[in-house]
Amino acid sequence: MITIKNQIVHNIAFDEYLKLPGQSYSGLKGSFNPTPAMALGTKVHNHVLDGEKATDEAVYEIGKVLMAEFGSILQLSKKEISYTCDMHYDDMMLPYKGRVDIKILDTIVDLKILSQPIKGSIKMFGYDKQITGYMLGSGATQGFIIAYNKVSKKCEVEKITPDYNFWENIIRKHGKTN
Amino acid sequence: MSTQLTVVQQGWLALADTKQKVADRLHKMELSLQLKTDLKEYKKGLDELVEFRIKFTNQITNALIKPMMDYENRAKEHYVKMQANDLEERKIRKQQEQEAQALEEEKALYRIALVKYYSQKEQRYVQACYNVVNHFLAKGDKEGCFKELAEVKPTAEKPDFTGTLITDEMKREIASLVVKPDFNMHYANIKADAEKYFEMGIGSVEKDTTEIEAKAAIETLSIKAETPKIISTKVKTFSKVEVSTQEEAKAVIVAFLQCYNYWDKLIKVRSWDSLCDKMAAAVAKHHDETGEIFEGLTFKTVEK
Repeated sequence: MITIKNQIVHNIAFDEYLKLPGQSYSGLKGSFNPTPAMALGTKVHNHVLDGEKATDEAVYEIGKVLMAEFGSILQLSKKEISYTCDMHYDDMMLPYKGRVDIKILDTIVDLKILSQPIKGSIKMFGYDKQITGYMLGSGATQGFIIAYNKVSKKCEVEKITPDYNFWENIIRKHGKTN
Repeated sequence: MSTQLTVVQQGWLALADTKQKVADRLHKMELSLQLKTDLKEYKKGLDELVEFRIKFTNQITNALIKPMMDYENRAKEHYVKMQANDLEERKIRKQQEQEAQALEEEKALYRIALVKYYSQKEQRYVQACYNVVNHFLAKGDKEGCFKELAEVKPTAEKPDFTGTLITDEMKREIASLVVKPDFNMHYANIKADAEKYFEMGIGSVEKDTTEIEAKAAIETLSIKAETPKIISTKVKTFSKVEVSTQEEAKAVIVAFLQCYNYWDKLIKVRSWDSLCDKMAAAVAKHHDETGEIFEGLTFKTVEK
């Protein structure tokens, strides 16, 4: 599998990102109604990555823990960067788009707010597939998840083993012939 | 074939006979009770009936049921000991696992401290070299620049680490795994760059060391991801309220009422009566004495 026409789209809001051409991992999963847990995740993202003021205690506390442990990563990185590219496999092509939380040198990092240990969550929610998409789109060589566990109130870090097979199958299923 | 019964078999046969005789007697006592109309006499006859039945059933209990239950009671005692041993073993295992986890985390912290130390050393060295280059570029003194550049030494504060579990041997092993900055490479590159700057007549250069810092940040992230997560043996804990005084009982009731909104979640009973019969009896007595009524309570009149 190869990707071509990789493009970085800086400084666009999430609504504008949604209008970009290409298939995203979330789009492939289908539409869903946001849960309260997802709403909290969005608030934390806005606070930690966009510098928005924390509107509630939980967001403030999570932001504090993340900054204390990963302050240097957050300070040195580019945040919320949107990528587009064309994924090619087996004479098929799929336009792709993804929005990465954190990019630092050749590494991408995604922030997650969870209620359970990260290990079990990766396969359950397909985070490895999502991160693989980001890696392909951004050209990063490694991807990590920083997860804040709401129950233990601690952070966990997990390096993602890319799942290229998933994207190859997606290209075969949803792609167009070259 | 012998038809002679053993003593035990004869005993069982005799028990069947005795049981029949006792039942006959109990039946007669019940019939004679039915003729009595006086409350006291009826109660006396009823007590005699119960006493007669108990004499027989106690023999069964003592000679048959209790000895039969001895086996399970001994097994239950052993089970309780096994449970206690199992809990003790799990507690020890959990503590060992937590100690192992703490050691792994300390090792990771030491490795991170070393990564930061070398990153700081590298950044400072590069910055110091470029300060020298800029100083001599301004003066146009190439020879002086190279002489001074060779004198620049890498410096940094000691690694920021205080550990209690990690041994010196472990520290040495970790230190051997951490990638050290290649100061010779930096020196050669900066010297080569400086040569070009002097040739090109550039007055000063700015060196951004963010990349070195970013590499250290990624390395730190990798170390955190690599730190083994030991799955700890489970020892469930829950609270139990001790109730041995009236004050404590009152406090339980007050607290119980404060939990009102959570009863659906907290309590599972076949009948509410079994949970709070004593509470209910106390409330009923208070109602009898004062006439006070309570919202949500139904007072049923019992005749005695």
